[in-house]
Amino acid sequence: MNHAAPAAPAPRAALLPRLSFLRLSLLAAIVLCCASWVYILNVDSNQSHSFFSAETWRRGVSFLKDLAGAGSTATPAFAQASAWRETGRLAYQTLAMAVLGIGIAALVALATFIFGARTLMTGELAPYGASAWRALYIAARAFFTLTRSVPELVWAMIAVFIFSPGILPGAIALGIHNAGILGKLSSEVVEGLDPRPMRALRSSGAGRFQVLLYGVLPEALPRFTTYLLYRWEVIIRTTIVVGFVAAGGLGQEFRLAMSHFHYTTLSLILIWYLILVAAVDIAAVLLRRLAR
Amino acid sequence: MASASSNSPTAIQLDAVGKSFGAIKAVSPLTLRIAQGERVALLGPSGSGKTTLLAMIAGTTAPTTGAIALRGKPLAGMRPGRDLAALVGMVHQQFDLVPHLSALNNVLAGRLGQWSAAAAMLSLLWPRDKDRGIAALERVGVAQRAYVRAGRLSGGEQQRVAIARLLLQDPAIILADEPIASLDPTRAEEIIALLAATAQETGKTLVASIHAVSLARRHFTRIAGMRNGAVQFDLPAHQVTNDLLDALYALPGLRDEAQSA
Repeated sequence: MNHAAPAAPAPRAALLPRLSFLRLSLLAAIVLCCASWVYILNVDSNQSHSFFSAETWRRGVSFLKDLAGAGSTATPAFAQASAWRETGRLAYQTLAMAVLGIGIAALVALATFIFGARTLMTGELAPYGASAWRALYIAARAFFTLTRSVPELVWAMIAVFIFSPGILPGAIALGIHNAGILGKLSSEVVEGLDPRPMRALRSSGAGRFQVLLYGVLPEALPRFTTYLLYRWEVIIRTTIVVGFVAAGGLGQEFRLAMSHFHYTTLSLILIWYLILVAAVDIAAVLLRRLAR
Repeated sequence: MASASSNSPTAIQLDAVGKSFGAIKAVSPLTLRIAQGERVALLGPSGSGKTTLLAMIAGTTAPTTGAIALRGKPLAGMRPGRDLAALVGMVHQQFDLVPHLSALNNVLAGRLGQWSAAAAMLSLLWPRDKDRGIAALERVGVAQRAYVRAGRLSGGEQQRVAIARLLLQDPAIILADEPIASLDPTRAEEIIALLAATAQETGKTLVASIHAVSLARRHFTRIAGMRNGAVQFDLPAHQVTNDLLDALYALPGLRDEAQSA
């Protein structure tokens, strides 16, 4: 009984932080959920009407039928060998755009990510009199922020203006955007590296560039490869978006087919995308295993 | 400060060397001479200033007061690089090695001070001075692990590889900062014996901080006891008594440490 009194305030103190975040989040989620349904069913009745109406349902079914080629007497595109050949050529171009895009991104990121690592540019491992290096660090970080904050689609629109439409502007757009992402991620990998092996190298007589070669790159490059393959998977999917602004490949064809109501061509392009994404996924897994 | 080899040339000379971190005094000004070929064990509770002292001798931490000379050359103003690496090399508790590099490439990194950047780059693909690297790994008993990544080696093997790198770096003075703190007693004795034998065979000076009193007595010529940043005793190993050691590790010291932590 004696020890019961001082123990009493302890549970309250332990529960308070949990109540403040986890439980509040759950409460907020429940309240928001109820309020949304009240709004949809009572206040915004027009929207909910069209969302749940028979008309919506009919349109959806009809579109799926069109995609399957059921609404028309013509042979669906995915049943024509010539259409397969034609879109196959575009699929190859799309793959080429993705490879070119990730290649550009990798080269630019590899050339810059060291400069974006604060630990190397301004820390104890930085060269003496490091203000010039600090400026390089800021420039590299600004470059990463600029390139990755502008979406691929916008880069593609700009690139199509400068180059003629085709896969090259698409690849450049994907390359620029992903260079910023890869550069930032890789810089942060370097910043997170254990400095002790680098210090040990330095004190055993290695120069700064040699520390980079022996202490930084062997540790950072495997992670860089992982990010690279992951971004390649993303890029193969994003080719369809940049294609919309005439940057070539299946994406461009997708938009043309859509504006001409060639529904079965859309299906064919989607099938090709499934094949491309699956192939890139498998290739990435194999390459990752090889790199390990 | 009596020492058996007082007629050998001086390897390490500390003159009123002290170090403070802000208001905290890590090492009180101390004067110490260590002769070439001596093997000195630094004993003392954690937080007694052993690591700071070693870092100052290694040239990685600048003393707040006093001056250090290694083999007659003043350490102040010496930058890390080839000249310093020829004078002094260090083994830490662990994390000396680059985990993704092979044991062999880690060992060969001890030669980087002698290599050009291009040679260093090529050596990552086609190891240069490979025979010397393998010989050093053989000397420390892990030659069969030469092509294994350092990160996949056991703690004891990593320490052996770190010592092999020191063999290629070939400094006149070897420092070891708790080199056996993360090893089991059998590995610990092996590593200390290896360090001591390496120093003895090549006439190098060895200064190591350890906690194992019996190992200090068996493998070192001289023992210095540190507490609260000051040297409590500094004697030939055979003259260190249990009373001195008991006083060194006595509880008040530990309490001070707990307060400062």
